Amino acid sequence: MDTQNQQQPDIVTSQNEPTKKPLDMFKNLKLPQLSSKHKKAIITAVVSVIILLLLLVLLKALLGRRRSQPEVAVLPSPTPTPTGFIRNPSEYALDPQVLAIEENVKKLESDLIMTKLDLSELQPPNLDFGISF
Amino acid sequence: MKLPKVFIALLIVACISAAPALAQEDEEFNYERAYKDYIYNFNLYQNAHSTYQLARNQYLQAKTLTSQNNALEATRTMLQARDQTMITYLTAIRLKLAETPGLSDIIRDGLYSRIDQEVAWLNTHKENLTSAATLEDIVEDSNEARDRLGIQKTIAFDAMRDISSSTVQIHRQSTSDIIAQIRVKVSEIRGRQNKDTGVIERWILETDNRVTRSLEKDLEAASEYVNLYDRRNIPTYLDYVKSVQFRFEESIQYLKEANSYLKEIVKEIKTAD
Repeated sequence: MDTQNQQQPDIVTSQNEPTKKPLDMFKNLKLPQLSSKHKKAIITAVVSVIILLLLLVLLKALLGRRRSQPEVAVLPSPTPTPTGFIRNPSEYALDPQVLAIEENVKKLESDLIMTKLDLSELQPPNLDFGISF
Repeated sequence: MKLPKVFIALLIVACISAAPALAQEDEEFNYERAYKDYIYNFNLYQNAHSTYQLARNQYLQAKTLTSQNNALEATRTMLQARDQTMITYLTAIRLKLAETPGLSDIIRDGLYSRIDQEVAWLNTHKENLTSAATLEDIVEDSNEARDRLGIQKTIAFDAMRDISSSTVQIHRQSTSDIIAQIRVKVSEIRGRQNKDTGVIERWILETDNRVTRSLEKDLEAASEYVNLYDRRNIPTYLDYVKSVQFRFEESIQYLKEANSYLKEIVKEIKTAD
């Protein structure tokens, strides 16, 4: 590694010797002489940054995918019980009169649901009464 | 001798085969059929109106005798189609009234009589259109029908109000009947003293309150209906919906709430203390 870094300016100058003008600025370029300790630290830092970036990209991709899916709200639901089920029945639970009343309430409920008060189909037709010549 | 016998036999066969067909025809003429007739005639009117507009424009541009005659005929056809549309429209309303349960005979017969009177007027008017010889005559005939429109629209709105009112009234009566049945049962339970009826009795009062609110909304609808005619000579359907129909819908909503209370009351009766 050391030798490579030291040789780099030489390589550049030797390659560009025929066209000196554009690379004149590199001629005077002096790279700092780094110790092996510093170089290791820099390499470790660069590698860690790359790994961190990769991790961030991965996390973003995962979170983005989750967000794009429709969110389903999970609400706490009560324990399912059959309709009309009574845990603690009274002595009137099977009373014929009470059952008849219950039946009437159910029938009325379905009648109310079926009720159609909208009479828009019977609205007067739009006819032209403004005849003139 | 043979000929009369054969003739009588054929007559009997014809009568037997025709009777069910006629009966079937009578049975099938319900609101659904009447409404289809009305829509069919309305479409015919729309076609006739397009032809009338074209003929009218041609006459106004050309002012020739031919174009005048074409305009007269197109107007006549359109006015006849317009009368027929109103006839079938009023007939559909009549059939709707016939199929609406809970309407009192006085209200229904009153509306029938008014509808029949208007249908008869429209039929005569339609016949008279054939005698119109000039464009002035036909415009005058059209104006006669225009002047009658207010009466016909009022019949339609009256019918709609009565149909909605009777529908709500039937459900309110059913709710009141169930409340009465529950009251009898609760009174019996209270007498036996084996279940606390305090909560149930309070809930019955709440249910009663909802029924009263429903009745109040019906009265508001009736009052709004009167106001509707104070504001405009001939109200529009939108005016009717905003002021009257909306009150009936609120009334039904109160009855739905009452019904959900009744369900809770029954559940409470069936549950031990």
